[in-house]
Amino acid sequence: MRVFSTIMTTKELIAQVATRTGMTKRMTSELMDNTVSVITDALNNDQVVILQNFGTLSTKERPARKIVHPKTGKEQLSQAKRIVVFKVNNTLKEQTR
Amino acid sequence: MSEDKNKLGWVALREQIAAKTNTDPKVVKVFLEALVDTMSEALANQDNVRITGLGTFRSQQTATRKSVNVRTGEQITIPSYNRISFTSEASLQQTMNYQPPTLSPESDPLRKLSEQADEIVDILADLGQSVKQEQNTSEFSEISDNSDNSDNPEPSDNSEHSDKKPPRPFRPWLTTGIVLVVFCLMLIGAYFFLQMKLENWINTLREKTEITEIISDEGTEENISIEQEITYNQEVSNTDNTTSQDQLPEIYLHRDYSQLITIERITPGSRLAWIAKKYYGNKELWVFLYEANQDHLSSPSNILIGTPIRVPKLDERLMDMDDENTQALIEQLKQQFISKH
Repeated sequence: MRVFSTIMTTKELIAQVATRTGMTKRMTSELMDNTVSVITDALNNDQVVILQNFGTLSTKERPARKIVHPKTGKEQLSQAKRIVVFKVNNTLKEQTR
Repeated sequence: MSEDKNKLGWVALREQIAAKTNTDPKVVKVFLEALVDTMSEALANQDNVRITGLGTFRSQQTATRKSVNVRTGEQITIPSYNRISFTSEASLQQTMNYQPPTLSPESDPLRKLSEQADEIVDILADLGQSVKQEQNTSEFSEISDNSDNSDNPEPSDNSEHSDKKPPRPFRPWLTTGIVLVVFCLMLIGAYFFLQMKLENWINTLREKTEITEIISDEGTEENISIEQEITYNQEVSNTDNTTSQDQLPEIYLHRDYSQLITIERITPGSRLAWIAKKYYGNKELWVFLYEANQDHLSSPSNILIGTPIRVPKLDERLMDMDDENTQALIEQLKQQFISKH
């Protein structure tokens, strides 16, 4: 079990994908940017994005709730917001197990 | 896509990306599969995958833990597994939660301002072109007179409209501004130049007035004194050098002091001899200076500071020191002046 998990950045990801597909790095990076933009647009429009063999990205409303300030004890309403939720696909789950 | 608006399926995603990048959907398919494969591999290796603009996929291994089956009450152990979580990027959160503030009253003035600016620009451009249009019309009228009288007005109008567009970046107000600045600079330069000139002019005027005052004061007496001198000299020459009188030319007898070089003022430390050396090149010739200014000088050795002294033009023969006649004349005058006082 590793204690420190390394982070794979977009740059490294692009490089790996490029070697895998045989495409140029430039093209893969362009495609990457566009996929990200498509996904974010979809999420902004409350769409569910399904990534095959990976998972689904969806949005969720988080309604305002009462919160208490730990120091002053004041009760406040937290702002309602939308968050992105990721649900792992079963295949990915099995792969990573 | 059509069956569910809230879903962006695998195929729809592929197609959208293909449409955005103008690439073949098959290529996009290959790319996406490779992307997912690499990402899942990385996650299997317990690496985190950070995608800029979207978020990070974290993979963390959970420890084995004991739990209880709720139904039966049996103790079970849950084996460790990789838990994959996703945290969206802050920028994505912001764009998602961004609520466009209702700013209809505020946005209106801005729009008005921009419209006004556009209108002003248009008006200025029109103003700049109206002059050109006049020129153009005159040219066109000439051309039309030359070629055809009947058919030209409409095409000429069209060409004018087509001419309107290119000079827009010309910006007449900018050129006028530059011209104004240059004009101001020229004015400033002219002002200083004129000031200099005026000062010079005033100085010369002052000098001239002084000279004229001196001359007007002493001009009347001058003629008389010179006549007196001449008669005096004639008497002297008659008495002393009777033999040389026939040989001497008239210049020695009638010394003419009417033509002046300058008028010099006696400054502290200067003498007649120095002035003579300055203008004639010889100290000895101070005699003539004294003779020319005899009317207002009491003695050659005692002259008050500031008294003006006329420096007359002398004949070359008088300035020639090698000439015996001049030497004799200078000595004679010297004796006269010194013996006088």
